[in-house]
Amino acid sequence: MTVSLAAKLQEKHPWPAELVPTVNQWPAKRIDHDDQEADLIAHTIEFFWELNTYLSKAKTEILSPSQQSALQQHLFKKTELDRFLSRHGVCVEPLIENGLVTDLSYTCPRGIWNPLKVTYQVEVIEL
Amino acid sequence: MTKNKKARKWLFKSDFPVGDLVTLSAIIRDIHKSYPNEFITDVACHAPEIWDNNPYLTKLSEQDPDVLVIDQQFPSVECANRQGHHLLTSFLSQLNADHNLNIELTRFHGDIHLGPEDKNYPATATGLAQGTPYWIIVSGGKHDFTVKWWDHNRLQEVVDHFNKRVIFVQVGHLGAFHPPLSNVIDLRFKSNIRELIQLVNHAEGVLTPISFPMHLVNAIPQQPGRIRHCITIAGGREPANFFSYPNHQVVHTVGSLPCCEMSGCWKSRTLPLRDNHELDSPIHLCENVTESALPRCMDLIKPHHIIRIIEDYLEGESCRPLTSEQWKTAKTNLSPKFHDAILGIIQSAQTRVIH
Repeated sequence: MTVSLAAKLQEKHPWPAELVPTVNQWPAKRIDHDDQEADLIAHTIEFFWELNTYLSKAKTEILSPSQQSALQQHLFKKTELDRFLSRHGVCVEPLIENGLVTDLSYTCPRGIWNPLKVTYQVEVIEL
Repeated sequence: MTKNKKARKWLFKSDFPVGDLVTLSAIIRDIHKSYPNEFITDVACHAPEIWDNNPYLTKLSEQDPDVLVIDQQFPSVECANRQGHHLLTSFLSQLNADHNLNIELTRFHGDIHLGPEDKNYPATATGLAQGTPYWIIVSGGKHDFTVKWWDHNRLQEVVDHFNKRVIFVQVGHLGAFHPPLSNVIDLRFKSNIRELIQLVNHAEGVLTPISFPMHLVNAIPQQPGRIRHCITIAGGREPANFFSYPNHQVVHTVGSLPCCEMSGCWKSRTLPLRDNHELDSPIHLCENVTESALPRCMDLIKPHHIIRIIEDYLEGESCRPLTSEQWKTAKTNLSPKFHDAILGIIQSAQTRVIH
């Protein structure tokens, strides 16, 4: 069985309706549902998704001390994420534009793939 | 060569990795040094840039019946482990034996020829002021031999130790695993082979696993009175005699562990990558992996081992530290720490919200 990454992530993090058309523009890469790469990508998306929630909030409101502290804690997870990915020969680097993660460079043993080329242009997201 | 003797036409075919192609360039050079005018040589390979400006190549066709196609094979592990050969001497003895020749190694390094552009200081690429000393740094490598990778967090400790004194330029080719370092000039995925040659040409040294830049350090002609250093973080995969050059500092751990007690283990991968590559099979996997997923032979190597070597170069004045003026220019081009970059973004967003 194969499942598109877009579908998998849509299930994990439902996108606002107005973004669904752009989600469908994701590269047509398909991965096995039980492929470990799906987990790697899910971990990565999870991290940067959450990071974007902080970055989005910071654009419109003053972060409370507890939010700032939570952000710090979240950033510490990056080392853990890197370590996890490097075990699998994967290297992920975010592209940050206008204060948000808009793209990820994703290098893995199977080649280079930018799964979020279109989809992380998400300044409009209300989180 | 006597007048009536026809020059032999040899076309070397090779799918070697680029680093090993550099060693092949030494063989081509020494065929001509040992037998002047007796050979016409050419190389068919995936990295023709290695051979730019090389005076020993003449275009040959595989279809020409006079051309002998030599499919250069990688030497056996026995050559390295038991006979103590270097990659260079392995190639040479193999060729001499196969063709009943007596080619002598004239210089113990590859043979890269510089063009005018290679000789220019890479000020534009690096953003450094003309003549600023820098080191090349490599934080990973190709996915075939992951046992060669060290921990990039430890490499970061080395970089941070030399803050304001040594600038590192990080390189790495697209598609390979080269985790980003902070406080370096990040030229990963931005340099082709010739640009890398230019970068190495002007570097004080190279800090790397066993890699292509390691071979370049000596293969690129050195200016008189200048030494280009190389520190190779090698672990226990290969015996140092097989890949190192006389002035290189090899940090290896052969002999320190049962799995590489007598010589290199020649394993390929630390953990399986599940990419359907033959190197994922158990015989190619490291048998001694730490909890942090480093081969134990690499885990034995600590940042202070590397730091001490560079400190020695600085103390011995064989490598130049930055001047304060050079540091001022250089620091504006350094890659930020991820953590700091995000906090900087948040801070600037918050400032805008307040206003």
